[in-house]
Amino acid sequence: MGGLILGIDLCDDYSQISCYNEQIQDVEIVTISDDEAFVRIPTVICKKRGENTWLVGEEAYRSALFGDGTLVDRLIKQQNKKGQATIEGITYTADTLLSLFIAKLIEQSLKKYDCDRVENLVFTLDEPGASINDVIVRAAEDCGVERERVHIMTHTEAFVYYVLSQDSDIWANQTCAFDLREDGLFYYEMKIIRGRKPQVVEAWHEKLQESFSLDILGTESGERLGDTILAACGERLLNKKIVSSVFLTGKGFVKADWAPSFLKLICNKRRAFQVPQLFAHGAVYAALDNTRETSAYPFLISCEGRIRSTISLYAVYGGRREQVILAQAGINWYEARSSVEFILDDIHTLELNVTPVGGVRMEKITISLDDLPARPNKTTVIELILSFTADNTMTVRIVDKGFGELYPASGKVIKMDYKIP
Amino acid sequence: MGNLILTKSHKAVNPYFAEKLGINLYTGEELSYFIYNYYMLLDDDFLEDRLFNFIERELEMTELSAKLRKWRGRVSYEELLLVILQDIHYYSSKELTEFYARLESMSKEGTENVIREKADYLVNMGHSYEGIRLYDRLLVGKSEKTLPEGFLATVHFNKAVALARIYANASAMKEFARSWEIVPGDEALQSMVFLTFLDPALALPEKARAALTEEQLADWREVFDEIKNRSIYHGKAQEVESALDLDDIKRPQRLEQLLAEWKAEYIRCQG
Repeated sequence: MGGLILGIDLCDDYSQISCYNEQIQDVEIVTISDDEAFVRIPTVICKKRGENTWLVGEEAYRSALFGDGTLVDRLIKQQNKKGQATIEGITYTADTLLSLFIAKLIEQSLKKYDCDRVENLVFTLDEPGASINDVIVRAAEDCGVERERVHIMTHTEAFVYYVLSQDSDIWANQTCAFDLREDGLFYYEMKIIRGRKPQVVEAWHEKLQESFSLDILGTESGERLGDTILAACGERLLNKKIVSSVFLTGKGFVKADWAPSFLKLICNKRRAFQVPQLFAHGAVYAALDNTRETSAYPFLISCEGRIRSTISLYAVYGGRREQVILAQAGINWYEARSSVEFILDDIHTLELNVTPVGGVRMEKITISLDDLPARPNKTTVIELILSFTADNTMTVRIVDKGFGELYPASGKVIKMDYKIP
Repeated sequence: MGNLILTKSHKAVNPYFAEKLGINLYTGEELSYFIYNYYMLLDDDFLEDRLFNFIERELEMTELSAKLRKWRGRVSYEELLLVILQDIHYYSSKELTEFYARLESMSKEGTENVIREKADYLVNMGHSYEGIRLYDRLLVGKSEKTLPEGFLATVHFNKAVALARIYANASAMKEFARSWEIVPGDEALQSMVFLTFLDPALALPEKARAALTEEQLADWREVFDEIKNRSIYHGKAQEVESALDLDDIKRPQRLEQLLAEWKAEYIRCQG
């Protein structure tokens, strides 16, 4: 078989792995514990006492419970806070611990499928960011997965991929999902804007105020309260919308029979699905798509984690003035880095066009080039590097490259950050 | 209105060495710039296999190299240069028209004018030896007798400048004197006087001494001293001056770098 195609949902409480199975031509859950029932892998790591052995998930809990090792949890939150943990006198950064955790997930997946390489790997997180993304990519690289085979997306993106991978009647109109987990209740919604080429998928999510602790579901009265809260949320969110289907995911919806009123509401003229691995599955569908020459999803996806504007400029190429796209709307911001070289021909400012999805008025960003060294016309090559630190924050760097040995580079860099729609 | 030009992606691994400038050319744009701005420096053997191989293998412009090989010998040298510039698209059609017009007007000017312009250009670029060789081509043999006086005086004058640049002061004096004899004028006379200021061992030719007034001599001394003083704050002197201002670690490094640059420039200009 070829390399593994994996999707990993990394959350602070637990993580999940999905894999594309070529034989059945579908995605399946990957368990790393001996007990197949443990499809959710607690995002914890434990170092065995006196050994350089690290355990993750249920095994880590077990080891800590028996007093064989020291356990560290909340790995995502710790990474965001740049935290650290001291185990047996050695201080480990949260980056290191998260890297070890990720490495274990990859290693164990490879072991389970008796495979030696990963073809494509997509991580999905609630809130990806430059720092955590770098840690994830490096951890995967340390496991032998090349940089270009690793991708990171938001839960909203994974939700979109999951939905679009189902029969089209499921997403004929609006589609939504409720994610009930330890740290809150989250609502996702997506719709297709037809009549444009390519068709636009718009999706968003929000953390609902009406959240409750999963602990209350331990009692009958708690279940009734939870049901009432959910039904009220459903009423508010689905009211007056044409929703084709509703997905339920998260630890709170492993079983949903405790919320009869809510189920009755969402099943009214809609189809409802319980998909505990919705985000991990969505990630693996995206990973599978990455292996294709042409995407099976001919949509422009506009949602959190993806840039919503196309960044372009005009330049002369082959004697003709043409539009050069530097970043296309709908691309994941972490992967939207571009670098292009231009020669300045009697030009002292750079004008970038920012065109939001949906035909909203185009904006212009003007960057002065006056700080570059003065040279004869057409003897300054600039490298224009565009990168993003979030889906709405763009960094533009202009590097003076000189003009060969005729006019050596000064190394001067102009750097600007911009908020984009 | 200005433009951005999107660069061609191919950067040579093995660059084209432009001997006259002593630099490597890595891209099609640099090659275009070199042709456009330094066409006077191009030798007759410029449009040969070394260039065609560079275009084909390093710039990966196989169609252009095939065209050049096919048309070599069938079309003029100038037209082949234009083909290169057109295919690289670094210059606009307006700039190319200007370039071709320049080449054409040169070819209409007559051989002597072209040779002189090329020699002047080489001297200005620091290639004094090559410039002198070209001046000699004009001055030896029959042609000297057939050249117009004004033209001849200018050639002698410019050759003298080239000789002075390589410190051949005695020969420079002879050439200034010859120029002055053909067309007497203050410029050549002043240059001779300046040469004697620079090199006191040199004597002014008798005729020139006789033509010189005491007042002129005093004025030119003043001008010369002013130029000398100003030169301290320009060019190489200024480069050394600013190098001496650096700290103990950077100063020797910079001086060594300057020396290496000057040596390279000297070797390049030996022709």
